[in-house]
Amino acid sequence: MEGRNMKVIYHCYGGSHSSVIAAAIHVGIIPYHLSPPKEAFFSCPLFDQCNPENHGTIHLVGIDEKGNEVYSMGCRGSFPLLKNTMEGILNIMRFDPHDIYFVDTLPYVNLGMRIGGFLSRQWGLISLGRPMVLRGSQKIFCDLVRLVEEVKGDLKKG
Amino acid sequence: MILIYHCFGSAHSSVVASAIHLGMLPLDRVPREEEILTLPHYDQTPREELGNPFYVGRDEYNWEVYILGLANQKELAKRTIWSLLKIYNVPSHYLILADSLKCINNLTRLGGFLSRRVGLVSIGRPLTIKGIQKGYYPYVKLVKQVKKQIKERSRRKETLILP
Repeated sequence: MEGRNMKVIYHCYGGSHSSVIAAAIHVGIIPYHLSPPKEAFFSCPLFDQCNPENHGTIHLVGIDEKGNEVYSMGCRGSFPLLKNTMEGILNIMRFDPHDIYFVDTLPYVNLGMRIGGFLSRQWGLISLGRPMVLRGSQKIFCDLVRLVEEVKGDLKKG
Repeated sequence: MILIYHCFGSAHSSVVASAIHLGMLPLDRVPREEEILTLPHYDQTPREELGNPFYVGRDEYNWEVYILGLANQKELAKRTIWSLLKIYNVPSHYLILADSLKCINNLTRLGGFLSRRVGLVSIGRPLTIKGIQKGYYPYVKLVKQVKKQIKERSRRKETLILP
């Protein structure tokens, strides 16, 4: 029997890099195997695009092969608060909060991505920050692939 | 239909505003200390509960009234709430978010910090009450504005069906 469709939300600090890449891997925008060339990351919707004004917004990245909706989001370090709010609002609206599967990608982010992301997104120094982010993203790509595989395994189990 | 009064910690200003809204506090005079103190959730909400909406009651227009503490992340959290509603196809007029933090004065702010953050309840709590008594009418004004908004929405008589 098919499991129910879930909403998977990958979240990180700014919703521009690690969460976007993981979500793009999940829906097949970036192929699973091998470390991709730097250009591949630009096919992720919103890669290195979100500004502080977009933090908190939940963006649809795509729908996976099982029909689950996959989202990315920047929580700016306030995930516990936002999780309470999201679950509370869904309860109020009589939706099932268990339909959402939250995946934190922030633990996978390395120093290069952190600094590069900060330079590019916070300070607008794109020419300086973006290459650092790209290099960092390549380094953690395999970890994110493994994470997505775990998530898909969990979704299968229900 | 849902109305949420939000503030920093869902312990003071949102509690007072929602109580005025639901008729638990008066519109025409400053409430006594025990009237404020005995409100449900007043100066109670712990830090871990930040972001959690609490049900307070149902008003005369049949709207459900909630309180919510968003710490210093209200813009962030509001974006999350609105985009979540969009994802679930809930029409935006189904929800009103009313910011009660703008009614607060420094006395209540200080008292709230002492009581909720530092844990000095015996010093902080009376200060929050003094502050609310001193600057009570901004809360009344906010509630009147919100009720006007609710009345307008009810008058439009839109059919609201949740998916």
